[in-house]
Amino acid sequence: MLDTLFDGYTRSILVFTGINIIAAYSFYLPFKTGQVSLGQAGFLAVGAYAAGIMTQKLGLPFPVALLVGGAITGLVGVGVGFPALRIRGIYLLLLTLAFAEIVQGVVMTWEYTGGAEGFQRIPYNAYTLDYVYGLLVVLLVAFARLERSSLGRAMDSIHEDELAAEVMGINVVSIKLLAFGLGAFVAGLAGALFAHHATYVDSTTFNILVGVNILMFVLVGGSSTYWGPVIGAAFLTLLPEFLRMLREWLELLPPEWVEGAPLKRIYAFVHEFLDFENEKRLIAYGIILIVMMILRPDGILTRDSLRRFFAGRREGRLA
Amino acid sequence: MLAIRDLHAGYGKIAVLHSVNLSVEEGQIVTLIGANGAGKTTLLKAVSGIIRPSAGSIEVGGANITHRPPHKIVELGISQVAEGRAILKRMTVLENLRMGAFVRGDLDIGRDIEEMFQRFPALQERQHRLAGILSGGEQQMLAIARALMARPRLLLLDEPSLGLAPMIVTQIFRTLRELQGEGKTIFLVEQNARQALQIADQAYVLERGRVTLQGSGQSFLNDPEIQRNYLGKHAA
Repeated sequence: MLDTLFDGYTRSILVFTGINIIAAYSFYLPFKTGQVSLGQAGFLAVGAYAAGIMTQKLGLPFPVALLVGGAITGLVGVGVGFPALRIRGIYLLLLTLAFAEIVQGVVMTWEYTGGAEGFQRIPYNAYTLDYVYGLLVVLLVAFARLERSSLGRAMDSIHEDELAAEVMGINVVSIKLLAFGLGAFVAGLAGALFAHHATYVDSTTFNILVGVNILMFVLVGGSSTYWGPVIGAAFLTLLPEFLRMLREWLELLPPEWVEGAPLKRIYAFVHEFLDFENEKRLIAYGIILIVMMILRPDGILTRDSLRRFFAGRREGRLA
Repeated sequence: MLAIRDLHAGYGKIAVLHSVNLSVEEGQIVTLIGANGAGKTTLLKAVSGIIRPSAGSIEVGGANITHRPPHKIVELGISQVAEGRAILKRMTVLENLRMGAFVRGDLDIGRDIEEMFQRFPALQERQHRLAGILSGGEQQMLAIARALMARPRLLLLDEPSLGLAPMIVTQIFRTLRELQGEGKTIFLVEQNARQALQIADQAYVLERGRVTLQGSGQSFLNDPEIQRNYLGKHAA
């Protein structure tokens, strides 16, 4: 299948990019109704552990574990979504953050799945790449349809102005719950796919930073169109790889070029900065976010830019 | 058409409305006037289900809607033009109009949109513009047009004249009259008492959460107390 086309390195990058895009969609769904969740990592963990228990402990086949794990996460999502209905903004952020913390705590102390030692020997799924990109195609088709449906418009309206949505006769409560639950379901799928690719997860796998990253994927990519999460997740996942490549090219420079005093220091700094393994890429993330806020506050890709692009092409064809 | 009986409502522990009784007959324009903070908006929110009354009942066409959620109330044919217009600023004029027909199952909304464009030609010119860049008057027209897209029997309006130039206000009140002529029932909450009373069949005064006066629009215009308190005329 797909995995025979790529070498191991490319394969692994493709898998992580794909899982990150799916995770970004899990944030995008509730966000479409104006609900900002920092707790998507918690839902990823629920999906990973639920599916892992089904395959490793109960011996169920992976496809079953994937779907049931996703469904369980979706139900948990509806449960978290209920209190989330009454609060918004910063308080919702805190609530979802607290949820992710609780999941982390439970996972760490639950001996059945290894507790602090982590959940080990989860069966490896050789077809992760096919599953991930198959699911992505399904999601893209679903979002393309949602965008044109009255449900999609209702979600956008709720995001913009809940009062307006209510006076137009939109069932705000049900749609917000639905969006939150579906988001959790998608996160559960991403978690299950990840667990059966990595074969090991523990309480730190789905930490707060993962939740922040997921949020960044959508905000950087653009949240006004369903292509935004794809662009954002792909860009931010591939960025460290690109930085690593830059670093490798840097090493090819003849040493005499960087002999001079200032150049040598700059070289050393850049070399250090591009080190993929260290936490400096978080600084890079921060800088990107700040630059984005100033230059493109609505993300790389927006509905308007897509509109303009397609309008331009249509005019071009007419001419 | 609309009957409010002994209605008490407020926000949490803060009571705003105390035993309000009010009725709107089919085909009439009824206006509720009152000062800031009298509870006018709260009353409309209770009717449209956005806040839950603590006691009393609201009936529409004989059906008790007191504890129904907002979307069910819209489905019954009651549309609200909310305070501050509540249009979707980041959607186009056309998208706003389409959203107005959200509760309708039929697909005949193209004709209704045409109708709205005839009624409000400014909206047709700007149909592909984002609603947020329209002028205040155009936004108010859009808000009314969007509410009409649901084909309501009863139209609730919360201060449609707020912050608009006098000429536009006159135009909007003229539109309300036309709508009445087409058989709509209108419940209008206003601070602009003079113009509201001029088009109203029935009028109520709300003071600190209580209805203190009721009568025909014309009788209110001639009432010295109303003139003094709400129309800015001083007794000679």
